[in-house]
Amino acid sequence: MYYRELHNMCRAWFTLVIPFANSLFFLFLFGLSIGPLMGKVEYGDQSIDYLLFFLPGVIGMGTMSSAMLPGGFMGQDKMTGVLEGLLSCPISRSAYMLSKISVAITFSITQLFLILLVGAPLIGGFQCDNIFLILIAMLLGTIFFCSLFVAIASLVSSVLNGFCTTLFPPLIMLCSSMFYSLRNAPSWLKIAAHINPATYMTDIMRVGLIGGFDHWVLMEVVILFLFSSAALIIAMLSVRRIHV
Amino acid sequence: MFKSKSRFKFRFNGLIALYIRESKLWLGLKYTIASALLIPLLYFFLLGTGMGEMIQTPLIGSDYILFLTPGIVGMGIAAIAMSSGHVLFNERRVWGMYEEMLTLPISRSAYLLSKILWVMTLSVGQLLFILLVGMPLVGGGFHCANIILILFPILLGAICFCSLIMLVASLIKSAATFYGITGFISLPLILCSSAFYPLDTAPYLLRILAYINPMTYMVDVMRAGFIGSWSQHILFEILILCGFTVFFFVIGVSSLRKL
Repeated sequence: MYYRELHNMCRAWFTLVIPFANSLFFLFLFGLSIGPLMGKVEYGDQSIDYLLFFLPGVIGMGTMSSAMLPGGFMGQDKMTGVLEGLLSCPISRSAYMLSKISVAITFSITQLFLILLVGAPLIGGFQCDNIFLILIAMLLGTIFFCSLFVAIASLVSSVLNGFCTTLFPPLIMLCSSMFYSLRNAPSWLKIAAHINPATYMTDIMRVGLIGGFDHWVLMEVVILFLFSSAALIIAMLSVRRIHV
Repeated sequence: MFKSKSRFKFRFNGLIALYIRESKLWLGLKYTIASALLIPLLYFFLLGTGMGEMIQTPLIGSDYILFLTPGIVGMGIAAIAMSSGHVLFNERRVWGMYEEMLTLPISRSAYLLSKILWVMTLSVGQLLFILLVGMPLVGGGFHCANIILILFPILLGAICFCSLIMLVASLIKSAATFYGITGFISLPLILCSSAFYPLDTAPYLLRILAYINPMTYMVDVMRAGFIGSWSQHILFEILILCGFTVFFFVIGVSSLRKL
């Protein structure tokens, strides 16, 4: 199942290139242009360049985009009837679900290293304080977003799935700490951001990249873990509900 | 004279019929219309609020929300034009309706014009949606200094982007390549312009790219309409935008004629 998913996604090369390219466009075009308008961004007890602040957001964005892809492919499979054919094979639905998550993780890791490789010279090099934290955030984030979009794809019609995959990414991205610091944000935005797992994923990645480890980060890892577990269970149940 | 008048009426009726057909088609695509209205609103409301708290206002010369409004409208127009291109691509390659329509006594330019008119209609609807729903959400009032300077670039932008995407849709055969290309060019089209930030502080290379991008001129003229900062430079930008529009329209029509 893993090879099938991998092969399926690699054939549609543009779906893999676009999330990576969009992450770089945001970093190079948006980050470099809007950075001078902000000066330094307050982070913990230090002031940092906006580009350095934005880099974990860009990685988070790429992770989310990669994690969305299996859900999108599942929507297509559902529309063309391929999904029914697959589910009638002697393969468990958990294996089907896990293959999607494994492929999403593969692409997220590849994308993470590519963005770090391209992003490092751009911001004059950075010290990766804790690569383990970045990987944990990426892993849990991928599981959450992949499960979320697979659950949506299995529960709703193909047309509504298309609408959700168009509307949710900007909503998730903009209601989080990916683009901006929540320190001076209005209270409603802070509340919306704190019920959004993308905020925890980005914050953990930010600590991994820039530093500033404290007990709150561990709490964020636990919250993200709970979100991911809940999403995975919901996705498993929704995949099981599909009638063949 | 009577003959040319009746021919004009005949062509005009054809255009109206195609416009009504386009409206019916789009009204069936409820989710596409909903995302065309909601996504710009999300960017306007959330990006405007979040970034507005961090951006130093003196550097952009106005409140960031007001600065962002024309950029968001421009982004919406490009997105609607892209969706229109997707419809054309499906009509031509997937549903095979384009060939059927060519057998009717309707010109190809009328076909392109009907698409452009519908993109214009949706763009104006989206502008009203942002002004009437978005502005009160961010605590701002209906602020526009010159409505003509806002509507005129919307109309030119709709023609320009719609023609551009028609050109792409007519040249490409594979659906995967078409969706790949439109997905790939959407974001740079918006980010390589003055939609989200002033170009004065942008890197040199981005400024060069922005000046060959019609989105920059469309957004700048609209911004002058919103803020009320008329200058000779804006007149010059309108002329450049007109030039881009004529160029893309001619190419768009000729590419449809070749099909």
